[in-house]
Amino acid sequence: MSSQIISQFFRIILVMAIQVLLLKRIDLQIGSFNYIHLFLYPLLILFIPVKTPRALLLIIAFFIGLGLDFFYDSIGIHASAALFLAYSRKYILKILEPIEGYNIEQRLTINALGFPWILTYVSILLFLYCLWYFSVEAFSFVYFKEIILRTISSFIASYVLIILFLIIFNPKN
Amino acid sequence: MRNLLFFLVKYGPTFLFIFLQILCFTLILNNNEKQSSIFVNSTNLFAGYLNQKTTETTNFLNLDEENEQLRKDKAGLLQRIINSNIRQSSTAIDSIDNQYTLISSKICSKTINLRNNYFTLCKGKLDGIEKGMGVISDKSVMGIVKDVSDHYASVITVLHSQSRISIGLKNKVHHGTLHWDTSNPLYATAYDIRKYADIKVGDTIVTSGYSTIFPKNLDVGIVEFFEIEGGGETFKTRVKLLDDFNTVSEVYVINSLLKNEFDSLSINNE
Repeated sequence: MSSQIISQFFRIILVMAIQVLLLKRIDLQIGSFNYIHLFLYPLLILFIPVKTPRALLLIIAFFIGLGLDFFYDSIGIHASAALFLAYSRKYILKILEPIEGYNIEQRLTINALGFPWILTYVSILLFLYCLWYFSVEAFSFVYFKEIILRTISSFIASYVLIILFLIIFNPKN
Repeated sequence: MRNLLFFLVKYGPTFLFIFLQILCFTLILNNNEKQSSIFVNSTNLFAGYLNQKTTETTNFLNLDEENEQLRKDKAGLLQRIINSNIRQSSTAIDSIDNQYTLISSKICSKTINLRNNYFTLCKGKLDGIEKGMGVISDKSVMGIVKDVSDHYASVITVLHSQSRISIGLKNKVHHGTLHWDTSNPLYATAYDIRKYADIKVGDTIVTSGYSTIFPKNLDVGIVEFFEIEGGGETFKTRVKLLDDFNTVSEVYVINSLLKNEFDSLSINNE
């Protein structure tokens, strides 16, 4: 049990380090089209075990987001989006619930639930996350077009990134 | 107690979510210039919009009062023009500064298509209107007060078979009388202008000032056409009235401070 918590903790540190030290510096500018942001860290919140209490999940998400915000100089924005992701996770899980239900000890892995399930699950939540993030960043629906543009382009890029990451670091258990 | 615990277990995460979201937004607003400036601007926009709408609505509700105030102001200005005209034409040093005062009033009802047309004004004795006072609009002479009750006044307009108004030619000495015998509310006829008067089409007809009802030199109409009358000594002149009686809705009642003095002298003469 405690070993699992420690491994989760290191996982969080690792992914955040990648996000902050690597992805933050990648500038995916194509001409004047600079709407692409790469998000890897949402997978931390997406793949926290199902049995984690919801309140704890929210608090973890809040601090992950806030931690990133310190590096991105955008206090509160990532935290807000991460919180939203953590909050809406339960409902998406409920919608995508397999017929036999989730095994309480189960981890959300490709092996356990199958590749198509993971693809759907990540796509829905990541899209919601991007939409929330860019809405809060723009802070006004006046910039509607820009929000949609950023959401879609960042969603596609981050989606590919997260799926690749999941395939490469596929936990066997 | 159990219910409370149950409630907290069920909705706790939602409250936590809302609480933390509020915390996030507070952090965003306090630490990010861009977002806080947008926030401040949009609240200003919203407040400004709200203020504007409120003002528009209250303005609309106050329209009546405002109109009344404007009428009063307008009456005051007309009064100043009339009185200053009189002062200019008078050489007496001790002439009264403000011989005429004006009372503004709305027209409550009117007719213009009959043979004898009357206005009913929305003000009466209590507002200072008395029988025999002159009534003008800001463009032209309108009529004379015939009867007055506490709150209303009845006016014989120029468009009345019995109306007789003493008129003259502007900047000339000749004078005559204005009748209305055309049955056309746009025109009246001026009689009794001597045939040696230098009259031209387009001359302005003004009040003569020979009574205290109307001050001197108030515009009445414009000469459209003239001919020598049957008897051969005077002109009969068709006058286009300067104001459209159909559209006029506000008039001014003229009160002369010297009226009583003037009238008592006239009675003595008779």
